[in-house]
Amino acid sequence: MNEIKPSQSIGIRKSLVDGPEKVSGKAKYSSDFMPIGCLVGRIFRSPVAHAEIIKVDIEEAKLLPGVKAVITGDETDEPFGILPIARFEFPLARDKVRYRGEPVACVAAIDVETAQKAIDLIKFKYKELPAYFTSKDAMAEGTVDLHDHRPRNIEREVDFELGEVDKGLSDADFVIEESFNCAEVCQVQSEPHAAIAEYDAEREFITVRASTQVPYYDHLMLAKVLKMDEAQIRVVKPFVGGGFGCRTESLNVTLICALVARAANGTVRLTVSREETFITHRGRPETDIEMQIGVKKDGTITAVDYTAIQRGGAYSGYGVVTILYSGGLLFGLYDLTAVRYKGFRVLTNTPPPGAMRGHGITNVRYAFEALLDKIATKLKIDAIEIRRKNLLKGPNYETLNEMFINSYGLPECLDWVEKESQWNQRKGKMGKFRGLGVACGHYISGASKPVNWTGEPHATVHLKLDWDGSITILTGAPEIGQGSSTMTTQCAAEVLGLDMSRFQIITSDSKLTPKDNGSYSSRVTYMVGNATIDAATNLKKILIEAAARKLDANPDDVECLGEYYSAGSQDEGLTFNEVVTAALEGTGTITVKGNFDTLPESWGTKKYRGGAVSGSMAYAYAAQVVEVSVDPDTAEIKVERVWAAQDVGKALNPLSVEGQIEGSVWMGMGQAISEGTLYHNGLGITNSMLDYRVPTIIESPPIEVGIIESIDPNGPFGAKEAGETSLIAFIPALTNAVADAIGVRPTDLPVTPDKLMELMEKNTNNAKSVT
Amino acid sequence: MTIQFYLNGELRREDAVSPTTTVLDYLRVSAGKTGTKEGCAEGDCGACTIVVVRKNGDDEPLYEAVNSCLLILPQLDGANVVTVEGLARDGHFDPVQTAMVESDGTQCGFCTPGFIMALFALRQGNEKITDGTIHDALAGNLCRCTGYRPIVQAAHQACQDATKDLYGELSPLIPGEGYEHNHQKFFAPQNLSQLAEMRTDYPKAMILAGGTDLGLLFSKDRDPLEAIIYTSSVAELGEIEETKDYLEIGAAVTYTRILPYFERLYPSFATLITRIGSRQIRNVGTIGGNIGTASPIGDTLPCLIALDAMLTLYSKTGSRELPLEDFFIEYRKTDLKPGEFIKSIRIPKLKNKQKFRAYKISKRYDQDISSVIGAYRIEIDGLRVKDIRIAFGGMAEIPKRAVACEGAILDKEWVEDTALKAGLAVTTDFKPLSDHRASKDYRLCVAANLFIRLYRDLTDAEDLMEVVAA
Repeated sequence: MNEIKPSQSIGIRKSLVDGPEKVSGKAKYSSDFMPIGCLVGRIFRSPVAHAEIIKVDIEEAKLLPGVKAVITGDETDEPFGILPIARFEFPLARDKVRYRGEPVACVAAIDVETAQKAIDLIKFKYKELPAYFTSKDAMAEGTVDLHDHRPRNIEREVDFELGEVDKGLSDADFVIEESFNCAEVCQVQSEPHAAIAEYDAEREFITVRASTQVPYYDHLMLAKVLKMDEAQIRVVKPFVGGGFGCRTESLNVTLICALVARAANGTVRLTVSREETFITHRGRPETDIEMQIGVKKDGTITAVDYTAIQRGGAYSGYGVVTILYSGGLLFGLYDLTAVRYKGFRVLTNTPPPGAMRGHGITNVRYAFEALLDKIATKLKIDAIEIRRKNLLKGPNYETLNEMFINSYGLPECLDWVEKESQWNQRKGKMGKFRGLGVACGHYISGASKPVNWTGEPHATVHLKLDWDGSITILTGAPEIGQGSSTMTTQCAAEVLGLDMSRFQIITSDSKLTPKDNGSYSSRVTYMVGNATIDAATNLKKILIEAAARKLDANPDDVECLGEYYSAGSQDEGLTFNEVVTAALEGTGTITVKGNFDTLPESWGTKKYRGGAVSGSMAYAYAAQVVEVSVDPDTAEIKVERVWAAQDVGKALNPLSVEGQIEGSVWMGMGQAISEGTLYHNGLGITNSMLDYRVPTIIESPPIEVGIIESIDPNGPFGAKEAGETSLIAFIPALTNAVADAIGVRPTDLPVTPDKLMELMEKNTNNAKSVT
Repeated sequence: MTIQFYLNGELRREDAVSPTTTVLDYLRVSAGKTGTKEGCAEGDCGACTIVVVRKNGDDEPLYEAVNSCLLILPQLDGANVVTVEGLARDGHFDPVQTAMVESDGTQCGFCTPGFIMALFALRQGNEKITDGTIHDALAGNLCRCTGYRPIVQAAHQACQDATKDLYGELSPLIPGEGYEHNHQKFFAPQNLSQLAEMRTDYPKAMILAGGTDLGLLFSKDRDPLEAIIYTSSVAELGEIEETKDYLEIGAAVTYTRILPYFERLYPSFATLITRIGSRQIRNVGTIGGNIGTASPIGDTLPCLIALDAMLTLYSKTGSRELPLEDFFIEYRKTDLKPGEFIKSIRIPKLKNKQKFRAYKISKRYDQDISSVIGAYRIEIDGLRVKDIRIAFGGMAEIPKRAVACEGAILDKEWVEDTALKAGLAVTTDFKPLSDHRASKDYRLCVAANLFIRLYRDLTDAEDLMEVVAA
């Protein structure tokens, strides 16, 4: 008999378990559900940016043949919102509209043409109010408040000082300051928002399928706006075409779909267009940053003092959390001893941003890393060296805001990019209009305190073992393309030593799978991965005990080899199927549970209000070197090569990790050089794939990925975040490379050719002197 | 009247569908083929890509990727359509599908069917597979998850050899001459006189060529137009004639069909053509349509003006010729008279010493509206510039000649200083506007700098930076 070994799944390149469904076209996304008799929903949206609603006249629309329901803000007076402290948004506007495109009414009709005709029959009477499209205008004296409870349109002001900043600045040999502006950007995930809701009046029951990253939060908000018992709602997340934070909170699309389905007493499919998806927004807010950094001659940072102002759109959404992350997450990358932060989250008459990939810290990190680079140039210190100079004295390090760093692979990341990019040989010798830049970033592996605190564990996973010998993983963790189902399967398979093909996975169906908070803040691998390991370990214990009973052995003497259980080499062992039969004897189908909870030490600081935001069990680290060329005639930037190193703790699936890092670099590149929304009197003028300009395949630079494994002590097999950190590092690495190439330092994002040309023109002499 | 076509090898006949139904809606809603996705409904993202197989003159199958969101159902009459559901055979994935799984070329999977169809068309096209051809074939497919590297890898793995394919074997169907449903009329005239007749009889009917611009009326606005005249089946409009002096292109000839001619006769123009939209767009879009739309930033227009192209306009009462530069009157207004349509475009061939260059400046390389397009036909005799025609797009409300710039070059020595001086004359010729594509200053600055690029380009090709290869 050949030696039997348990199958290994961790650390091995595994293609996605749901890949075959995706390439065959069989994978069903929300808009692919079209049961017979299904109605089509279409939304009437506000044509103005700020107005009092006088009347929404839907009488004619209701009479149109084929129309089954028309609803307005009268349908529900229950507001929704992700944060319990900031729920002021209605699925359909009531009393006021606050941004252009805000939903005002919704039609359910037999087909899309009829629905559109009905929309055209709706008469909207309103009285316009002054509208504010910039943070500055909205915060000015004498403005009209968008919301009565938010004077001067400030959603949240954050103000903290940790350490002695004034002393730090006066102790510094140099203090350098700069202002930065980062344009608002959108996720532009592939799948536009969609939902399908099936209302059963006799049972008073509703089933909602939606493109969401957070089915559980959808469930809560559906119950709230529908005023229905939570148990009478079933939320299912079908395949989802990407997220990146655009559906990390309940969207009006989903709620409206449910409301109109109930009104029509039927099934309604509501798929919004790309333009409406841009309007639904929840991207990264436009951010103005003023920052000063004090340093010693040797590059040691003595203090950081900065202000961030975010144009927060018409409703809070995640806004309070975003402005807190912009402060809290300055810590944990470098050793900082004094930081003062003022943050303003401002309400404006534009669509509400949300929690985009690299939530809250991306723009601040860009400013910080760009400024650090400028300091290095001024002090004639190598840009990598100045970063090394300020590394944490860790791991096992506690930041000023009480973040605990238990694994810290940033030094290795810097070593890797330095070596692979041949930094020392090439930096400063690139020739005209070509340059190298470096930057770092970090991000959390799941927020340690959830937005909705219930006292339940952070993650729960069920494993169902049945007579057929198959194991079904039941998890609420929403697979949205990031590969969470594959990761979960790998974790379970590894613990049980079985091949992944033994497993099937069912995700995110509130009547089948255990509750999960959702796919956001890079929590899934860390939390759900750990819960899966726990569940599989529990199942393994049951199987070993069953095998021991059957083999008449002590469980401690039974060895699990995956497909084979033995009680020492002398005995004939049991096959997995035999063990399953033994385990089910007298008890039937087994479902075991695994949990994960965060440690209280990771719950953030109480030193300032909102200090829980930024607390995480682990932080991932990235260093990146970007090589660019700049066209002297047109000021076009070309990214020639990227070296991206990320400390992911442990790469559970190197294939997926590479994909996440490359995708992050890629999305960062869009924000850095081409993406940004624009509004004209509140009308979005970049709300299409053409005008918004995500990079296309030809802009795809060669990206060398360096996976650094610091093995986090609490991570699943040591793993941490893999899908956000590298985006954060890219943006400043790019602008630093541009500065190296042309001697001009862009401060505003995106660095489009017209902005860069202007800078180059102003600095012609400077540019020419750079070699 | 019936629309008939093959869908994944099965014959379909439809006679109760609105003619303005998009192919995408038809596939998803009527045919239940939901593998084809709607990502933008504007032809920009490629999630709705399907493949249309047609036979070339030698009866060989050509596989063309198209955006199903911009096509309306009657345009499929007689076609042979393949969707992602049609690729797997006998329980086995097509190699493209397998490669996309293995390389992790699919993450969220929503754009994946579109990529797979574009790759399928690429492989069946027997092209040499290089990074360049892969980029070209996939420029119209946006992925937001992967950063594209794994998809390029999948393409290298799966597209090397065309496989013999059942769809290529199907015998072509004969398309009809029109379709009508609930007072909506779709005319597919077969020849010039029929077209002229219909143009007079239905003055309000929309003339539809490829539909890459007008298709938005159906996909987004849901406009149930009453009459559409489709030009693709008009035999004369599909003709290409090459003589020793000129190339004459029928107005309904697609970019894809004309590209090989341009590659030979005006290579710089050909490079620019490959940056128009994407393959999906170029497989249906036409130069005639680009002219008819008369956009100030239509990519081909300054090129054709610089090349001194001549239009033939046709109506029931006869035909007339008009230099293209006189065709554009003001913003989106042309000299087209009632009942008239564009029949063909005649482009003189470059004479011995004439050279042609075109530069497109846009925020991204592919799939973008130009900020500025500069096009130059120049004849240098010894050192002296004997003849020059320059036209710009994006600099005025219509595509326009740069007369002052021409004056600064004509009869001058072709030295760097001349190029610099021509650049200075840009402000005399143009007063561009600022918009979200580019600022006024940027447009002026780049238009001036392009003369330096032209100089370097014509003088020392070796010195050309890769990034400036327009």
